[in-house]
Order: sequence, then structure tokens, then C-alpha cells
Amino acid sequence: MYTNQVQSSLCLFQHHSSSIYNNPTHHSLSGSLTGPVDQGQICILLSLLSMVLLKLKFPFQKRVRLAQGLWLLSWVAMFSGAITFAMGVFLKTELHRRSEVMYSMDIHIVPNLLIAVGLASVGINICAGKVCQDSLDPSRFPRWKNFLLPYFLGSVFFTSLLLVATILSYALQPSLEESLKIGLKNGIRFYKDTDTPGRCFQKETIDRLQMEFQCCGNTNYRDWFEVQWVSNRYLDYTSKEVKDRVRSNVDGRYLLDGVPFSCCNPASPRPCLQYSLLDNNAHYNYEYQSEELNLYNRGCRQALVSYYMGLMNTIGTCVLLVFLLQFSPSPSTQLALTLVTLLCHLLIISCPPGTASLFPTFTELDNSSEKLLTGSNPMGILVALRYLQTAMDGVLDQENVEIETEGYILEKGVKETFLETKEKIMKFLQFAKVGGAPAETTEGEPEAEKPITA
Amino acid sequence: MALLAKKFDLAKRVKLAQGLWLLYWLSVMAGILIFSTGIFFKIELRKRSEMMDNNESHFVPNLLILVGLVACGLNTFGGKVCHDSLDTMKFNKWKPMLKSYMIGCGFFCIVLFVTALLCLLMQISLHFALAEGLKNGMKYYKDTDTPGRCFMKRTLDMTQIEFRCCGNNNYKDWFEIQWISNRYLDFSNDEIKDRVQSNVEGKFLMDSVPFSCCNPGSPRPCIQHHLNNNSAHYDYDHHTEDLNIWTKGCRDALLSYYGGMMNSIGAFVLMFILMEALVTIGIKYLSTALETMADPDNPESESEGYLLEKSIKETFSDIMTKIKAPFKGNQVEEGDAEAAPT
Repeated sequence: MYTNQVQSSLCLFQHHSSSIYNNPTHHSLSGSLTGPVDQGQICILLSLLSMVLLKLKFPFQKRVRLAQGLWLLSWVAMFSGAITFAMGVFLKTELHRRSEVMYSMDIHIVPNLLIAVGLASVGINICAGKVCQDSLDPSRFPRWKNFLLPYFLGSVFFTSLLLVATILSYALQPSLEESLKIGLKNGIRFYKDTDTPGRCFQKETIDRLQMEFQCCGNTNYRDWFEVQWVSNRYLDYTSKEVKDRVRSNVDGRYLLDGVPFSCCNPASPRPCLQYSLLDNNAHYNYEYQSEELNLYNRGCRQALVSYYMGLMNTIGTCVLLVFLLQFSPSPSTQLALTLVTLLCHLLIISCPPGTASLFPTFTELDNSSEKLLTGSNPMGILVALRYLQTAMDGVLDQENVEIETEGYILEKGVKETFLETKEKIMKFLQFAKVGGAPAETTEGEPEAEKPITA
Repeated sequence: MALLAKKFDLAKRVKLAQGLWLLYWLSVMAGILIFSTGIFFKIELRKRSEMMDNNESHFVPNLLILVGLVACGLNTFGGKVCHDSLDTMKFNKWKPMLKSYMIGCGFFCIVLFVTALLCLLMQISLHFALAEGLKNGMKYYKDTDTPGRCFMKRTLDMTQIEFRCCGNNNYKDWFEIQWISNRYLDFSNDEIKDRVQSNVEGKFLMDSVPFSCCNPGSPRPCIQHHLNNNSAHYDYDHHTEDLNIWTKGCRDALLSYYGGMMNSIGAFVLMFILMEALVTIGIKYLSTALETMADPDNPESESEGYLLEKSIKETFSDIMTKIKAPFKGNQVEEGDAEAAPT
């Protein structure tokens, strides 16, 4: 019916404009159509304007179907919120696992935002589903009258939070890298302190990290040459070699051109060479300049950064895709509704025998979602909710529930609604200013406010 | 006298049908779970097939996959029957198949029991496969230039790191084989020549282990070489050192891993048998309750459901007479044929 109305108005317009074209003595609509008219542009503009004002007739059955379809959509949105929450939790646990090599916790704001948005989305959409369920019962609907505006504001706010999270995940990459750089540097420095409380497990952490991420050192394996990673209690200070090495540098540290065993690459055809890495003569048939399979080439900082960025990219893409379903009346909504219809078919086949439906006319859910798909242009949740609210407003004071009512998006045109809202805000601001004024003036004000807000 | 008879009115029948329908769906999900554990088990065996000398039998995971699929099918059918059971027209479609369906379910329970038993017994065959496979694996550790064995080193290293084990029985297995390839040995060196000449087969044996045996939890940087020589390292006593390298053997580690997996699968299959038995009993009650309705056209009539029409003894003798009937038939005919001419 919607497409028919639009089409009929478009047809009329096209007919009108073509007749203007053929017969220039007629007065044109806009008064300035003299040259070749770009019919396409004007058609789109007109359809937009008419859509805004567009009143749809809602007989009882159509209201029921609208409510059902909306209930389904709110469930889909709820699951998308749950998915966002789960991904936030997963990211947070992954970041927490490696918190020992991270110096600052700035990056944790990304999973925190995802968790908050997920929870809020689940809550809001459960409410929306409840509204839809109650909407067909005029006795229960009135308490939800003022639901639409908070829902709209809430949805906009949380979607913008999601966008903020995505932007942050890219913006905080340098901070993550810096945090890892400092954390790994400390880890390598405290590698030998397995007897110092608070640092006992640094060795195990770094070893497991290097084995799991297949990396060695901070930037590369040479970071191990600059640090004493063998504890003093395992060094024989009576040995000449040890004494030489310790004396050869200012700080008295035992430095060597060797790496821990966790840097070894199992894919090397040769048993691992850990010590005297820069000395070609120490090993048979060995040349350190051309040897590349013996140890891991990558630095741990780079390995961890690419791991976390990959994780955040995947999560960000999934979450944004899933949230786009809510707001766009477009192929994505159609796809979602197709999937939901398939689910419905499954549900209905597998409905328990002889049970009373948990939702009025549950078996018609199938038909209603199909109609929503194949009939009119699939609407986003907001638009549909707005139609439902306005349609139900018409029913509220009537005794016969099954009458036909009208639903609309905006009661008056765009311009008029905008002016009205502006007036309301001005009045509210004035009221707030005059708040402390004497009682006589305040008596006058509420009376003036009443007819507008009623 | 019927066995375990119970009276059913409409409300009770409806409740039975709904409860049974729910149980059937749970069984379908359990069947899917068995199917996926079969696949998981098969993948795990494939992953380590090099350790088992490419010789391991895939019979048990294949059986699990088959059993899972059959369970899904049977239980979906049962669920459909339950769904239709309250509508007389639809139920009459399924009535003739119910008897053979229930016998099929009983047979399936026996198959499930056999599967669970095989699961638990497979550990024995795995033990022998692993012993042989690991021994060969260690032998071919150094052959990273031989086609077909290039990746044995990497596989064995990754296994030792992942399962936190060293060698076949323990780390001393590495002392008995040459795990460093000849192309990395300088045969002009005296020490190497001594070692090679010191044993009959001319192998370069040392008291060292590969790096993958190292334990990251050791407070000391890993000591790989000269493990039996206390004076080679400062403050080292190989008799008391236990954190340096992994002490467990890889055969034990892999066996306990697979054993745990197989035990839990076996236990789950046993629990599934109970569930199958329960739903079979349920559907027997439901079908008999619907058949014995006093007034078939009135859905609200009372009926009686039972497990067996007569007592166990009588049913058993009935079955025996049925089995013997074809044989008796021949005897009677011969007797008649003899009596007829006379």
C-alpha cells in the first residue's frame, strides 16, 4: 500500500510535469520550470517529503503484523547487543593475559566501551520487545507512551559510543606500542631475578611469550646481548672467562652474545645454537650473517602489536556490521529479516505440540515477517516503532480495539515540527530563567504550557 | 496382566507428549555433540599421526561419527511422532512404523554400549602405537634433509614443548641416539672423533638433550649439554636437579591426554544410553495410551498406557513360540504328508 501511494503521487507528478513540458502555457508547480526538468531529482525530493508526512492507514491486522515484526526485530537487535558484549569480554581477557608485559592500561578503554554498549543495547531492546508485546493490549500500552524518545536518544548515544570505540582502537595503537616497549624492556631486564619476590615469574612469562608468539627480544634478538640475563648465583666468579666478561664493561654486568632457549626456532634444520652467536668460528659450518632459521627473527613488541590490532580489527568489523542492521532500511535489513524468517520457519515446525502461543497469533508470525519483506520497503526499527506508537495512540481512548487508525512519522511537515520544537525549547529555557520570579507570573506560565504539552 | 500400566486422561497425555518432545530435542542435541566429538577425536589423531607411526586405527572415531548421525535421525523422527501424536489423523500415519522404530531404538542402545566399551579399550592399542611411533620419531630427528622425514624434528620439538615432556620414557632416551646431523659435525675435531669411535655403530652420542626439553619454569637458564657431568656447570648436581628439563616421558604425556579424552567420551555415551532408554520407554507409553483409547473419536476419553502387554514371562514365551513357529510348520506338514497317504 505504501509503494502504491508513493507511486500514485509520483505518477501524478510525472503526468503533471510532462504536461507542463508539452504545454508551456500551464503554470508549473515551482514557477521556474522553464528549461529541461530533471525529473529524477524532483521525484526523489518529493518522495522524501511525502514520506515524512506520509500517513499510513493501519487496520487492526496490519497493526498486529507491525507489532509482531517489530518484536522480532528487537530480538535480533538484542542478540547483536549480546554479541558485542561477548566480544568485549573476550578482548578484555586477552589483554589481561599479557598485562605483565604492558606498562599502561590505556588500551583497556576499548573493551570497556564494548561491554557497556553491549549491556545497554540488550537492556534497551528487551524493553522494546516488551513494548511491542504490550502494544496490542490497549490497557497496558499507555504506560509505554513516552518510550520512543528515550529509546531513540539511547540508541543514538550508544551507537556513537561504538563509533568512538572503533576510532579509539586505531588512535591508541601508538600508546599500546609504547606500553609494550616499556613492559618488554622491564621483562627482559628482570628475567634473571627469579629469586626476587614480585619478579620470580618474569622468566617464565617471557619464555612462554617468546615460544607462543614465536618472537625473540623487544625489537629483535640482539636486545638480549645488552642485558645480563644469567643470574649471578649461577656464575662461577673464579672462572677466568666470567671475570673477563664482567670486567669488560662499566657496570660490571655479565654480558654475552647468547639468547635464552625460548628464542630457538623448532623449524630450523639444525639443533639450536644459543651461545656465541656472533662468533662464526665457535660452530661448525655457521655464518651468523646468513643464518636466519636458527632463532626467531621477529621482535616480541611487533608480534604482540600485530596480534592485538588484528583482533581489534576483526571485532570492530563484526560489531559495526551487526549494528548497521538496526538502523538502515536497506539490503542489510532485508538479509537479516530473511535469516529471521528462516529461523521462524524452524521454530514453528518445532513448536511444542498443543501449546498455547506465547505471543498472540504466534503462527501468523511467519506470514507477518514475509509480508514485511515482500510488501513494503523494509523499515528500520525506529521508523516502525514510530508508526506503531502513533497508530496505537489513535486506539487508546476508543472502546472498539479493532478500528482502523492512522500512523505517521511526523504529525506535521518537517519545517513545522522543527519550529514547534524550537518554541518548546525556548519556552522551557524562559521558564527555567523565570523560575525564581514571583508567584503571580508563574501561575500564568503553567496554564500557557499546558495546552502545548498535553 | 500388563506390565507397569498407568491411566491416562487428555491432560496427562498432552503433558507426556510435550515432555517427550522436549527430551527428544535434547537427545538430538546430544547426538550432534557425539558427532562433533567424533570429528574432534579424528582430527586429534590425525594431528599426531606421525608420533603413532601412521599406523593408528580410526575405527573408534568413525564409529562415533556414525552413531551420532544415526542418533540425530532416530530422535528427530521420534520428535516428529510426538509432535503429531495429539492429532489423531496425523498420528495414524506413523502408527504402523512405531513397532519397528522401537525395536530399532533398542538395537541402537546395544550399539551405543559397544561404542562406549571400544572407546575405553582403545587406550591399550594407542599405548603400543605411541611407543613404536615415538621411538622412530626420535631416530629420525636428525634427518631434516631426508624427504619424508624433513619435519620430524619440528613435530617432535613442538610436541615436547606443548605436552611438557622429553623423550620416550624419560630424557635419557636422547642419550642413546644421535640427534645431531652429521653435516653439522666437524669430523676433523678430536673430541668428535673420540666420541664417534667410542661406540660400535659409529654414532655421535652425547649426554645432551634438544632445547625443546627445557622447562621455562626453571629459575636457572636451561642446561642442555653435559647433563651427567656435575663439574661442567657451576653449582649443578644432576641427581637433585629436577626443574631444569621436563622429567616426564612423551609417551605417558600423550597417553594421559588421549586417555582423558576417551574416558570422557565413553562416559558421555553411557549417559546417552540412559537417555535413549528413557525416550524409548516414553514413546512406548505414549503409543499404547493412544491405541487403547476407550472411544477413539473422543479425544478426551481415558486410556491406559503400559510397557508390555503381558508380563515379562508371557511376552518371552510368546516371542519364543513365534520364532519356533516356522520350524514347527515344516514338521507338522511332514507329519500330515505321512498321515495322508496312509
